[in-house]
Amino acid sequence: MIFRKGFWKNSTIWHKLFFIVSIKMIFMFIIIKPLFFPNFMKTNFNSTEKKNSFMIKEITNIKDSNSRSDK
Amino acid sequence: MDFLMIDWARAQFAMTIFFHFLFVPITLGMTVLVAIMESLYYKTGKEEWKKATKFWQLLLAINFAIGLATGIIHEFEFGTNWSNYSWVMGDVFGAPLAVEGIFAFFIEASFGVVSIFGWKRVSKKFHLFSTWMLAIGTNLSGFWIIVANSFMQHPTGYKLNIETARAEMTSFAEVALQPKAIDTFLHQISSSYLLGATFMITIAAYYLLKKRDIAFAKRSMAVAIPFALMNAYFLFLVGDMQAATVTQMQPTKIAAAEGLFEGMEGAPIVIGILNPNKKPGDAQTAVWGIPFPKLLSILGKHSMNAFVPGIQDLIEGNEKYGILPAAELIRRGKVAINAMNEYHKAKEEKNEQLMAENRKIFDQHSKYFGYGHLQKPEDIIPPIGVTFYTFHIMVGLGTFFMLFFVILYIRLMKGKIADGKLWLKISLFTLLMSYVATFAGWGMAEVGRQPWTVFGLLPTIKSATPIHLTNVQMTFFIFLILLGTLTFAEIKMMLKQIKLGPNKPEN
Repeated sequence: MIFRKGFWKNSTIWHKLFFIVSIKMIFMFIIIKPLFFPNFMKTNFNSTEKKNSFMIKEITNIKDSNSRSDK
Repeated sequence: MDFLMIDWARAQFAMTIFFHFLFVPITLGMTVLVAIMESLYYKTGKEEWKKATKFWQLLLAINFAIGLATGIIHEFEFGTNWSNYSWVMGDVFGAPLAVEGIFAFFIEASFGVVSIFGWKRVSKKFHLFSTWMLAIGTNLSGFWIIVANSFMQHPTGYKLNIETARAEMTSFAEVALQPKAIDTFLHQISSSYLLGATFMITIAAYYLLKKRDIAFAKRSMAVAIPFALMNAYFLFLVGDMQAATVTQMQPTKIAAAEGLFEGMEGAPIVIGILNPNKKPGDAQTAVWGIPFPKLLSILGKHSMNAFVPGIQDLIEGNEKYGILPAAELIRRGKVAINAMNEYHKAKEEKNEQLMAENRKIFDQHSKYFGYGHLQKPEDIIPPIGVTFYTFHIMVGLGTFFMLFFVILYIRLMKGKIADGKLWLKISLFTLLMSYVATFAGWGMAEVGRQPWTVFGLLPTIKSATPIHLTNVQMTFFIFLILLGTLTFAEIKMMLKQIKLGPNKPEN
């Protein structure tokens, strides 16, 4: 009630802000997140054991990470 | 320059958090200042205070709305660019972030609506209560973020699990209430309060120079200047506390920040220019400038003749003061890594005796785990130039604020705050200077933590995800455009409201 009355009866500045926030949320959660930010572990490994095994290899691999730029 | 995936991931994180952090300190400081103003309205009943409260609240709301959710981008980055970090540290790091989301964020959202839209719709008392709760919620939110960051600076209250390669929390209280977190939180909020006050002072000075809205500007100055003065001195006190914890917990950071190559008893602070060609062990001067004898020992150890280790001591070790050589730390780290590897091989072979032996070795060496990934002893030292200059810029501006706000306070008390163009012109730049000091201090904290994401436990080079370089490059530019546009929109809306002034707000 407070939000509905307070927001809609106020002038355009709040509406502009609401518009900006909405566009930002839509852009971030509907476009950027699914297209560019997959969860690496969830996407590449379908079980905890596989994730665990991958991470053990990663974290016990003593070498520099220069090769990462080639991938 | 060989700009690798990890550098792009770091650059992206730095860029996105830069944009996020443009809004955060204003919000932290302004919520408290607005609450103080509304308290004055509640106490005096004067409409002028209500008008002032509503104007600053409007600017705060614009800042809040544009900054809203820019922090969520970092959650995306953790999952995609920094999955190794998230896997290893998620159980510890995630807890304070979850508390922030559940506890602090809901306080902000619930009471923020009442504070912004509830004028005339709830009682004066409940409205004031809501405004204070918004300030408290915002600051609590900051506290949990600092707790998470402090774990990265000084990991405590955890155990590294050999089975899963994950750090598991053993004591939430130890993570949340460690001295590093408390000192950093106090330092961060007081610098944000100072920045919030300079936001108000800059705009009020603009009105006074333009000779418009003079009564409003004076009223705003009357709240902002004592608040800024108080926080400038409080910053000095908590900065001193923080210097002591950093010297104890991150000696490499303080050595780099002061350009101290050779450790000594009664170590000085040298105000000057860093010699870029200085290398550990050579005879060159490290910093050209004016030395202040014993000041670093006092600052870091609270004792005039205490020993402060230099970069060379930290690399080569110093037996007299019980400092292990970096080569030994690396060796122990490699023992821990090897024990984890051998443990999992033994597990595959179902050799329980070998598993137990390696678990024992791992437990003895796990606190050095991260060092095993470093290539050479010199790698333990952060970038000296950036750490040195950001630290000195922060301290220099902090000292300036301590002097400048005394002058402004005296002028305020004498009723001369609206006169004297010089002081008002300098006041116009206090917001910019405050931002520079805040970002410099933050840069020193984060760059000075290198080569680690979690000090001693996980090096930055092992924290990133093995993904395509082009993915990170592409999202870097998407975010640069998105956040740049949003910031431009905010500044435009903010400037429009400032130009309209408190007597003709759109709302």
